[in-house]
Amino acid sequence: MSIPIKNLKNLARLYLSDDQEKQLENDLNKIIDYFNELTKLNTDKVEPLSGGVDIVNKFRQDNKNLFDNLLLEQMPNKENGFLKIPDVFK
Amino acid sequence: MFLHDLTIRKINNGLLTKEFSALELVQNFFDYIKYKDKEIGAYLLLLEKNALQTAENVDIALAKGEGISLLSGVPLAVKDNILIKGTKTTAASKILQNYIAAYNATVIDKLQDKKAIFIGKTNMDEFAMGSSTETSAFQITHNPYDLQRVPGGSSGGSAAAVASGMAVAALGSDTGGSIRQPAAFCGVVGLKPTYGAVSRNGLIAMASSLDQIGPITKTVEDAALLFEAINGNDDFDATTVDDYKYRFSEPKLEELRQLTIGLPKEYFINGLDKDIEKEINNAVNKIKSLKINFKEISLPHTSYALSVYYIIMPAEASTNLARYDGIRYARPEENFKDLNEIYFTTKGLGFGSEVKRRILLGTFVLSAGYYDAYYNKAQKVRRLIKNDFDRAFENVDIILTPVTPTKPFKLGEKTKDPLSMYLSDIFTIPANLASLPALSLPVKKYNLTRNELPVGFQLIGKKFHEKDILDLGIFYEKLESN
Repeated sequence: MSIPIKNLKNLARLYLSDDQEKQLENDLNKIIDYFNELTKLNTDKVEPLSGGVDIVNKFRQDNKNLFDNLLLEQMPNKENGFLKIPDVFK
Repeated sequence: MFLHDLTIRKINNGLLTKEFSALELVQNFFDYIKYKDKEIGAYLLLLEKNALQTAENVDIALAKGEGISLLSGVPLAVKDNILIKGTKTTAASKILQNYIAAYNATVIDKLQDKKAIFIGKTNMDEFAMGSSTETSAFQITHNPYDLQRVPGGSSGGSAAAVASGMAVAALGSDTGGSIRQPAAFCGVVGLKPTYGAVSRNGLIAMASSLDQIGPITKTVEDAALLFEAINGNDDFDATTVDDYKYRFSEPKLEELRQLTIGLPKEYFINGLDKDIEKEINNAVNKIKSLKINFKEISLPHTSYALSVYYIIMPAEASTNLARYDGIRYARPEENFKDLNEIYFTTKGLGFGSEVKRRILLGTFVLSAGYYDAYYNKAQKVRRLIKNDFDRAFENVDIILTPVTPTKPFKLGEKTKDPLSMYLSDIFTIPANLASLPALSLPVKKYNLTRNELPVGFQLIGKKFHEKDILDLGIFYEKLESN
């Protein structure tokens, strides 16, 4: 099977040059092939393990934290303390 | 003063007995670094002004007769994916080359409270993606034992700094072996804590269910002391546990003799380098001389760990790196006509090829139509791998394995074939997948001036049983120095 790289780069919003695209397609196909070994295992009755800990619903007080100036200073475009971006809807 | 010999306790002693001042100590380190780092390339950034200021504060506290902590005045190197407020934090990526950390990582706050000294930020693989520090966008780091060889990765800068005496200890991060493997390649000690033991707040996230910050040090005792300082529950990291806090205590041999060590047969297979196998056997025999029992065990799903990791980690990383979209910070200087252009160009220009490879891989395994066959499947096999360990730990307390399948390889040797680079992680990955603590320590004391390449071995413990592996490591070191 061949990895659908054009679709993936759009999903990831990642620009690739033609050369990069070709190289990555090659690399990724080899890596995906390696993963086929997992099909040898029967995992029908196995629960997926998603996290590193078993903690559930760890809450804390909903306190307001000040927005640091260092964060604001690094915004590329701002107006009146708000982040300014190009139109989301055209 | 011979910087290479210094440990945390020696520094504490030296300060308390007025053998040297913190200022003298730190100045000596910077002098040495300016001479030595041209050859090694461990540091991306030196934090001289703040370091000297903190050193002065330590000296003032001492003069006033105020108590100081064990870590006060201790020169530490910090991997450049850990945020120190007001300083450049890049994760060795072009995309963050001008990013100034807006807050301290929790571990930094804790160490700052103890007046530890942050000497500088160390080089790493870009966004921690690599096993050799070669994917850094900025520079190469050389192995202090052989400048033509890699220091390992992704915490190669931290390991090289400690090994070459340019720091007394360092912080690194470990997602699939990134503390343990460079520690082994550089002949130093590295600890990956149990997942949930150390806060990840302020660590630039790679794979959120696998990442841990941990110490890289010259001795196991130093690793224990640094781990003690950084571990503990944190309100800013909901994955930290609140019922565990490691505190250092002198190891007792009688307690260690109650433990059994397991040797998993799947880790001692044909692909293992003959020299490494020999050295590991030497380590095993030394531990046997302490009259501690060994048992052969089996971890049947070991060989699948690499696939599981290289599905889950890129999936989590592709999500974690989506934030580097140029919107709130780190936007390249260009005229963008719309949002899409900002996203595509920021990432296209800013990310290196290994990062792009893993983002696309992660995007693939999470995408519709493939999620079940890859990501979901990998999570199920992750469960099987964890179950293997649970079963083994019913019969043993510590598991001993090699850290790396080969000795440190040459710069450029594995960069053309991603899969061959990924194979460097086969022995370290399982402990991350199963959330277990794991210590990498050198088989013997290596000498920088002799023509030898370091070999490390690994001790994996039960969850939140850092004490077991650290205690054994401390006793092993005592044997070594006799």
